[in-house]
Amino acid sequence: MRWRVNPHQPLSFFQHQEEEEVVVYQPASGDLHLVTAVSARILELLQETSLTSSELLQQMVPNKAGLNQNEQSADLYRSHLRPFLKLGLIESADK
Amino acid sequence: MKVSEYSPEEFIRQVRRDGVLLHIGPFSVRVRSSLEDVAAGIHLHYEDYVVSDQEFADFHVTVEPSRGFRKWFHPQVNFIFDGYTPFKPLPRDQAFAMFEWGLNWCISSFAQDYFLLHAAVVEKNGFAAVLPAPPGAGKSTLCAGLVSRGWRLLSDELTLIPVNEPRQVIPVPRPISLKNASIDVMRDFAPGAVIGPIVRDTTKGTVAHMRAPAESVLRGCETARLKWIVFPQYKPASPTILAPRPKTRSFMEIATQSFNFSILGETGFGILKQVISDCDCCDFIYSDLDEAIATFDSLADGQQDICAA
Repeated sequence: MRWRVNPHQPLSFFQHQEEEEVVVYQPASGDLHLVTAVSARILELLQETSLTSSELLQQMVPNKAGLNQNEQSADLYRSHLRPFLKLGLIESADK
Repeated sequence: MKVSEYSPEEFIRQVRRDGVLLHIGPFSVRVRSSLEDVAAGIHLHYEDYVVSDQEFADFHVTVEPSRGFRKWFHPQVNFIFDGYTPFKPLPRDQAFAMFEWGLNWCISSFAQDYFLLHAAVVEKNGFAAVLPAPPGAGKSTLCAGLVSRGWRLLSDELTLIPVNEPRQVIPVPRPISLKNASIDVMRDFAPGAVIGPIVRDTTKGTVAHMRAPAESVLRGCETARLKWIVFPQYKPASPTILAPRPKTRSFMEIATQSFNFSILGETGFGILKQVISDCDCCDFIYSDLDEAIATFDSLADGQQDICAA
């Protein structure tokens, strides 16, 4: 399945220098989210283009030697994509 | 003509008959009341304001006693805005406080040309320090202390940042609302300050209002540049601590303290981004008001930049 940020409601970001958290503004709901820099990077990538979990993983960790691709993709889904879906930050690009 | 140029009796008559129009910061407010203590409260707390004879007013407000049996039995008062009664009535002795709270509501509900924050804001050397804090954190006490020692009061309650100029703060220098122990603290700290009658058993506890310094009122059209966002917290017996606060955390907190962040939408996000980027953000813990003011003075004099993370 491919994931993306709704292209009609792009997210806005605020990050300050080396701080480890990022503020994300979701125009569809008007909500603010305080997320880790890793989460923000995932959202930025999905805002640029739609990606599958494994494509996303590839972009996040280009040197994936020693990684179990399926296991890591499932983990990425559980830890990040599923919560983003619940919050409406991302959607399926397959529909 | 200034409010202070009216005798109390004349002023009470005027407020009762036609009302008076006051320019309070960027707003014109016409207030009318048949209640002597509302007029007397305005006469005491707004003495440096000019009464205007213009017709137009941004806000038409009235504070009137409830009708019917409530006129005699536990008398109450109503705050009326453009003929609409937005709040439940309050006990009669809270009439002036109700005027103040009602005016806060008018500004925070309708002044959508501004990014509106629930925060005190003070100025020195042209730079503004915004003090956002939840109730009971010591924001008003700190604000009152600072303006008693040379800082200019821009507001004790509402920080107004123009949507089209988010580096500036617009003053609305009105009376400072002191609560509970801070009333006596300020009586001791600033014996020359004018503090009005004490009102007990309000929803905020015991309340009294402190008149804004005359200089702050006279400079009510002079904007200030945003420089610091300081999150104050009074902690008994604590040393004075000023420490940098992450900007992203500050962003989230300021958004929750804004009255119209959600109304302004992406514009609000853009303004807040600019505000937070431009300002030094810090946490400030204090128990000693003199030390607290010395810390702020050193910030204003450029001797301390601990906020700059």
